Amino acid sequence: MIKTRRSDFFKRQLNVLADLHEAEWLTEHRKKALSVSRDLDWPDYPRVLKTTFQAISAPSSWSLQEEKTFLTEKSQIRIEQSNLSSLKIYLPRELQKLGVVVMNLFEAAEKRPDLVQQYLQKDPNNRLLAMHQAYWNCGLLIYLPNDLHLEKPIEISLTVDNYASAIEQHILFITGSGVTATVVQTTKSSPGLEKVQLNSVFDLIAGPGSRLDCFAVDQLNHSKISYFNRFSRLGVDAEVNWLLAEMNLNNLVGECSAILNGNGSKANLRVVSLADRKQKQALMTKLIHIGQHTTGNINQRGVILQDGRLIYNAVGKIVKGAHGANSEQSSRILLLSPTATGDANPILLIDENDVEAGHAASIGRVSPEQLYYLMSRGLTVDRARQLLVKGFFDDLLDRLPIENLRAELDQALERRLLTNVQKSVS
Amino acid sequence: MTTLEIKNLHVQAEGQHILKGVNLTVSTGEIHAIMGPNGTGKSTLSETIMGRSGYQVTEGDILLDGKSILNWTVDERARHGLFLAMQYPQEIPGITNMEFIRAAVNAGRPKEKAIKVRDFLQQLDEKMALLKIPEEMAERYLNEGFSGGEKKRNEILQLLMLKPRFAILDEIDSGLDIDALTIVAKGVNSLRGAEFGSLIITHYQRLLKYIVPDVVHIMMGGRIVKTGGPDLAAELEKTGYEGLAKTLGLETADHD
Repeated sequence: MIKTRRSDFFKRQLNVLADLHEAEWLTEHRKKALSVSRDLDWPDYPRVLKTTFQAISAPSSWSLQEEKTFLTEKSQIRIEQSNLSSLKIYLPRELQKLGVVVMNLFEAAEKRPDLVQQYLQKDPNNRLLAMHQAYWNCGLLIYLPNDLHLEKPIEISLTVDNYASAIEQHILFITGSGVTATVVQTTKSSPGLEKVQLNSVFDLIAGPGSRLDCFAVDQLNHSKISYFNRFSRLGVDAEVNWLLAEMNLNNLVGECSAILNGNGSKANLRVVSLADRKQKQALMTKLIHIGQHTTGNINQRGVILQDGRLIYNAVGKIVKGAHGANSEQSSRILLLSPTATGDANPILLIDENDVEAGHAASIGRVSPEQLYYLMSRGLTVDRARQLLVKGFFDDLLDRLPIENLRAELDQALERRLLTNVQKSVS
Repeated sequence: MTTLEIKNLHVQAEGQHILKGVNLTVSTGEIHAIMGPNGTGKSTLSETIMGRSGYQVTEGDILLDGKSILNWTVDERARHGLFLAMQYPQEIPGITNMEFIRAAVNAGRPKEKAIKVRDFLQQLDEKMALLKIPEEMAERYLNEGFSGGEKKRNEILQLLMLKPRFAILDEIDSGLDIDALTIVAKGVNSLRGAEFGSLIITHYQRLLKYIVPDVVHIMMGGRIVKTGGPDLAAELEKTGYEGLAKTLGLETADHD
């Protein structure tokens, strides 16, 4: 559809895009996304107001000031980004020889259009994603060739501790067939950064027979609402396991979805999150079963304190022809204050007969009997609650492959629970 | 010596007047048994001493070394050396047995004197061996999926690790076979000494063959109706509660 009238704002944005010194096809791609965005609606997340999204999608400026790639003799791939000012890529020489690619996404758009052009998402289905496609201003291409087995986790970190107007990160992660790897993505922001806008999309394409264990630990402390999307597309017999630890202080709209295209593909989406004070978190997990004999599992655990609000929407969609699909989901929310509110909405959309699907959702408070039992051994009510919350998260968090990170999360969790209890008493 | 004194204790729970003037004094160095028919208020007494919510003291007092503990929270009572081995221990998934016991041991200590991990593990190993608890139970979630007997043994394990001044054992013998009973008794007996007092609540005389009490109390209708030496338990075994009630000129308290 051709729009005959465009606002000045939109024209300006198009001009900005035209001024970018990047691969021409990419600028075209952005322009298209921007123009499509005007016809699309905001994402349709149950119980999340559409106005939430307007706050998220601010157009961004482009400039990554410093970028370096280090070829190392070690065996681990590490990528560290700090604000929009620096990007450091540590790539083992050995792996580079084997065909591993780790590159700034701008550079990759020019040097590896075969990968980027082919896999960069084209048809956004909502305005938020379309705007992200138009405006992403930093990102990565990671490509792991066929039959690569990585022993050490790939670490991708983004730290925002300084003024930056907007960071719109896009990570394109592509694997060939038969790849096994672990990815740990940590994103942190410091408190008090009032103008920072931070959004991130992780787009994972898992080749046939690949197995990828992905961990995302988000500790966002800046003030504006963030949008995070982890999106996986799975080939035949591929397996992708996600664990999201949402330990943010700001408001969040998060999505984690797996498109089970390949026959026999499998996805586990696990989420652990904590909401407190007046924080709002909305998390959308989605399993889309397209191939035959696909298996999907969603497992979400949330703890809410004070006036926190947490919304879990879990979608299991089985399309026509996805014979033998199995889609399970379980969402559990633990309320630790009388004013905390939580929603767990299971949504099963099934268009095929010979499939299995199930859901369990529960919202509960800590049982007085459990508290009594723990306290009868001398634990204070704070300590007892702490243990219960830790217990509630543990079997999911225990899977984190990096011990330091696990300890850091435990400490953050303890600190927050303690502050919370003290506040609620006074 | 420490003394736990229960004075003319009247307790209501769920609108019912259950304890109607219990008097009882236990000192460290002593083991007391409380026997009585079902529904006579034995468990109410133990839960009230521990401070469980829902048990309202309407009259009387509970004193630890002369100080009233009625305004103390459950955890304060525990940190002052009271311990209740529960009849129905809670299952708490997510918290391992070991993690919980360590937190409980440290709860009774100042922060800078937290138990060293190695010391803790050594003690835990020792006590678990004494109670014939398989090693893997330390790593399992607190009571989750434990059999009735395992739960009871786990209560005694906590007792041995926490070394309280007073332990109330609420029907610790129910659901135990004779082997398990011997092991549990061995555990409790290992604590016997000048620094430890206990209140053993039971239906049957059976347990008291293995943990021989210094004093036996019979409770009926929310009161202690008779107190005697260890032979009182044996006597009761012969006459039954009904027989005893008759001799004492009481109505049986089955429906109390």
